[in-house]
Amino acid sequence: MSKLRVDFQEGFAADEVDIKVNGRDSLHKEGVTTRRMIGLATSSEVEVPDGSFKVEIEVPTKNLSKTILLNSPDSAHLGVSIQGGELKLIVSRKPFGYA
Amino acid sequence: MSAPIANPPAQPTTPNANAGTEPSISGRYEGEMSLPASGLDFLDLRVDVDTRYAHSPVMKRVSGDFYQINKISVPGSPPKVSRVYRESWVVNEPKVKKVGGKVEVTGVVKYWKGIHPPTSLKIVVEPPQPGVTGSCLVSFTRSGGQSSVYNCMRKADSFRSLNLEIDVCKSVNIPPLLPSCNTGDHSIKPPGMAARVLTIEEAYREAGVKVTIRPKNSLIDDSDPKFGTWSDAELHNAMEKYFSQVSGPWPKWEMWGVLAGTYDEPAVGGVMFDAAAAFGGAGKAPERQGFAVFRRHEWFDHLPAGAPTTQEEAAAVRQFLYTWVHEAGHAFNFLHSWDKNRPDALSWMNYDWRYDNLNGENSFWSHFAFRFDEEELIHLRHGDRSSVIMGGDPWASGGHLESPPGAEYLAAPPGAMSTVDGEQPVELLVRSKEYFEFMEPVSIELRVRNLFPDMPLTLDTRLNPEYGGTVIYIRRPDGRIVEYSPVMCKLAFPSPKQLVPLQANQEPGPDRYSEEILISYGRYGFYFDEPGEYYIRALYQGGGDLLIPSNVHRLRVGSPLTRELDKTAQDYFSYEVGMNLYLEGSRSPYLEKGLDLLKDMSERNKESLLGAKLAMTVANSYTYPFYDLEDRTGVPGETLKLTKSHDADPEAALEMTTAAVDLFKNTPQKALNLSYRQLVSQRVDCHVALDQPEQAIKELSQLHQHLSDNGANAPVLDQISQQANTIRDAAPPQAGRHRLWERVRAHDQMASETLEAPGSIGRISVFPSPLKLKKRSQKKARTKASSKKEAKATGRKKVTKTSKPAKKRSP
Repeated sequence: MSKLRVDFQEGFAADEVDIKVNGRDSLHKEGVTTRRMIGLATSSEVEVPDGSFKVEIEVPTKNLSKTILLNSPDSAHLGVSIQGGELKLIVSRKPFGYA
Repeated sequence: MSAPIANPPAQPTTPNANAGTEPSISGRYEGEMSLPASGLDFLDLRVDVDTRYAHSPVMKRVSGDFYQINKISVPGSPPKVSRVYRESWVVNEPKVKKVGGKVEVTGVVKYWKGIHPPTSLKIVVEPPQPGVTGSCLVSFTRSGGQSSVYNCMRKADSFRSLNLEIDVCKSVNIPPLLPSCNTGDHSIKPPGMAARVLTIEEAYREAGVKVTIRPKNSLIDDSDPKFGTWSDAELHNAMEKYFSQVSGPWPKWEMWGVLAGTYDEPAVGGVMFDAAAAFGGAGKAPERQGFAVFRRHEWFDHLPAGAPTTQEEAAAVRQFLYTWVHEAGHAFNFLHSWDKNRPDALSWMNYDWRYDNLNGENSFWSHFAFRFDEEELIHLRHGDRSSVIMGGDPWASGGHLESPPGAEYLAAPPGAMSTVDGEQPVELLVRSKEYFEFMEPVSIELRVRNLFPDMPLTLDTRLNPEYGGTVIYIRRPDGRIVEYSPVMCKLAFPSPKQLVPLQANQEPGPDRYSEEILISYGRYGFYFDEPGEYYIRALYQGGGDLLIPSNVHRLRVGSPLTRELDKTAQDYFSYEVGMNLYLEGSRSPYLEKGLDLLKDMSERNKESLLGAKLAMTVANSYTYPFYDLEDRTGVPGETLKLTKSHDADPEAALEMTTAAVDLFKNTPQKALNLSYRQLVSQRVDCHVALDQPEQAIKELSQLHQHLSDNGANAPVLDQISQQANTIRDAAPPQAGRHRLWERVRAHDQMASETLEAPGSIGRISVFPSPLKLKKRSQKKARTKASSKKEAKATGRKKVTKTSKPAKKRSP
């Protein structure tokens, strides 16, 4: 097993978020709000299998969802933002930094 | 103890790219008005029309700030001179031409705020010569032909200047403490970019701001093994403790940075923590004073003590510089680039990984020229002063847009943006609680404070705008800035009070005076009738030409908590309710509907501050009798007789506000101290009218305890003690026909007079010492006689228990 760090970044305002990995509930958070000072709402780690896996991100409070196929360990960091009424994802091998 | 802050020697590039050709005329100038009157106003001028420094693009702007000069005569000493900032302006794309050996710059002036007649600008610049400072003659000509002229001297090649104080945590007190980055060290860099050494000072000098790092700094001991990471609140607290410039009036060109270990969220390498809580900051005004850089962030794992020897080290050095400049940028009121719809900006305010996500791996550092983008440079150099200066407008309120989105066209009244520049003789503070329920009457505290270290000041303490000495500006959620206009204008004798300078180890109090002002309703209706964020600023016009602007105070009005409240808004935002709020209760038949609604709302919401405040308003109208004019008969020349339509009903007033007392007692918020005090004043009058001195003293005792627990100053507590003594000694204050704050003022006045009276004990008893009701019975007769005498003089009967009217009485 590996770890995927999920950063909820821009566009969140008291939102509920759910993450499923390969269909299994992996993360649920409520009251997720972006701190504009740093461009980050919250950051969490979820366990993912080695190799390829499917991540479903859902924001029920905004009726948004998106699915992405990733590979471990190449995709260790996932950035999730809400922009223009849709979910935008950034995948990175390196951790995101904020300032 | 000082940490060894030492700036690496900067290696500035060519200071003036015009060197060898013609001297640059760009930079900062300043000077006083010479026409139409001399020495009244002051101009801070920024000319940005040619290259003033290498790697520093020309923004083709001229901008400036107007100040009023305050001069206070001090017997036997030179006058104390200070400046009050009034407003800012900018000229976009000015025309520049040479006329003889001089340079003429002309254009149309655009003021950031307020309504102004079309104004043109003409600057005639004498370029600097070897040994001769540049100077210029600046003329502003209004469309009617009136001109004002300023004689200015060139002061610097930078457009603004500020001091930066940097403190260091002990755990990370290892070199380098400050960044010094050779832009050519890392292999990923813009092709053709000249390598240069950048420090914080140098990066900002290129941007047009002279940053001076204060030589003295503190070492913050964070060695407690139980302490792990920093929160915003702890950072803000550290700033309040360590920042040597934190006291005194803000805004000012002072900034604080701290090199700390790790933030609560370890992915954060730096933060400008001094912003509203809604943005993730510490939530304490004034904002944008300080920031932190976190040395233990993995960005800086490979930060070398000296010059980098590897690409990893070069990247860390580059990131260290970036973080310092970026966080300081937030304190200048910069948002992130993507928050300004410029995700592609090559700027200190973008994130490299965000840019790369749009443009490809390593594309940010391959193109970034180590500078702010042009819009940011315009803000930094020529933006509205209050949106740039530290402690000015709250973070993101201008965000270099200068007005909230969509509100750029909205006009502001003249003077709305006035702020203090430098040390002022008097501080005017606006504050209140930060959150008001929807429809809750909004009242603010205005406080004046003598800042002179050695000279008492006598100020008129009638701070209510009704008396004309104070002006209040409100920025509504839609961005519109309006002047609060009271319904009534009053002409009255001044109410002078001597404010004595605070000596070392002296408790605050004699140096200040506070008053609560209700600003919900005025001449043009309701001012807080929409949920959202409001900003309030006041101007105090003292004697002579003294003009003192306040801080900018932010408050939020919430949304209706229930559907029922939302529906009530239709009836609430009416003339009848507004006037009842303004008059603090009226039993006029013309306003009956409003009073009934307020009464109903106060009962239905008695568990909330909304209910408590409305109850105070309604109850106030029951504390004194109301006189009405008889109806007109239509006979020419008729004389209408004034007759009493309502007796006072202090018992009903007490009943109405019982829940409010409990609420205030159980709400330990300093911002509610004045409101609670007003309520108790009102209730004390009622108890006295009902001959219940024990109850009055009990409520004063509870108030005393509550205020003492909530940080009230000793003189206020003494006044309350003295008031209780007055009642105890059977010389009770008469129930006056006062509005709420005037009632407090009257009580204070009576307490002071008792204190100063010949033969008075000259000592103030302080709760919770028991206040005994001694000699009450003997003095009762005297009191009654006195009351009768007063009633005869005023033609009114004093309300006593026996003559108390029925609780419910139709108007």
